[in-house]
Amino acid sequence: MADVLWEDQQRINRFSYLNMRSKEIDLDCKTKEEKFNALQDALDELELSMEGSVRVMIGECLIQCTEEEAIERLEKVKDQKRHDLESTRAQLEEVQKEMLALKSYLYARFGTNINLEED
Amino acid sequence: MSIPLSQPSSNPRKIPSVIFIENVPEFSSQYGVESILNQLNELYSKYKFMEAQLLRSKQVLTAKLPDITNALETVNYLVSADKDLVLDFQLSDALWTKAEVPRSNTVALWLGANVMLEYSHEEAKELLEKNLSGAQTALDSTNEDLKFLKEQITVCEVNVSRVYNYSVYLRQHQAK
Repeated sequence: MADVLWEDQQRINRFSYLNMRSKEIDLDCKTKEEKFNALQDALDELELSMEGSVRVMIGECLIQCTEEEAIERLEKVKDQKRHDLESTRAQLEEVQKEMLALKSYLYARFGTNINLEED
Repeated sequence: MSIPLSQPSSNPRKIPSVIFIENVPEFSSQYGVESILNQLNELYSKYKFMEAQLLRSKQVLTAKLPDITNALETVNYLVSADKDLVLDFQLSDALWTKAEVPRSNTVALWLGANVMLEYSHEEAKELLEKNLSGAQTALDSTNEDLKFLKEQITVCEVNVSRVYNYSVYLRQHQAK
């Protein structure tokens, strides 16, 4: 079996770090997706509603405002969240790409002597 | 005897780094397989302990961030709203009530320890933004340390398995 060189160790370190990161980012993505969907639902709901006045959550309070104000506010927040979500997704993709490259290198070098899969 | 397994590192929190054993047979003949494995495992549990502590403080920090951003969002809204407000606010877990908030230039911030202080909108924003960036910096440095620790833990694991494999090889050789 090929002995582990310092360069290999560094690649293994990077892989184990990325593995930790990818789980974190994945979780982050899911929470952001949920929030984004909640905003979308709220906007759909507003579309249908006939109420003149609604309440929007700001911080820890519910602020009373007109439908137009509510839509404007929610659209703004939704846009922010969408950008945020897109950049998080891009990060995740980048991490996964690098992991794949490291994986193929390490498997080529150590074969079945190394296990890089989830338990 | 203590084997030189860790060394000072460039980590800003002065966490020592573990050495990478370049030449396992040489290192083993110098210090003995058994004691290397014992001391590596000891070092490994120290790193693991530190990692658990940092993960805890990371949780606390990540829980704090939304509180600050919520407060900041509210202050920003107060600044932008140039009229008297009608709002519902939470009195306790299962109870909300209505409040009329007349237009004003000040807002009171809960500082903790049973203290609430009144600030102008600008000062409140400034303070909250400072707190937010402080919490973000603390979180960043915790993440940096966690990355560093993860590296040390991985090197430890690889060291242990290489020394262990070598010990198996030695025993098979001696048996022949």
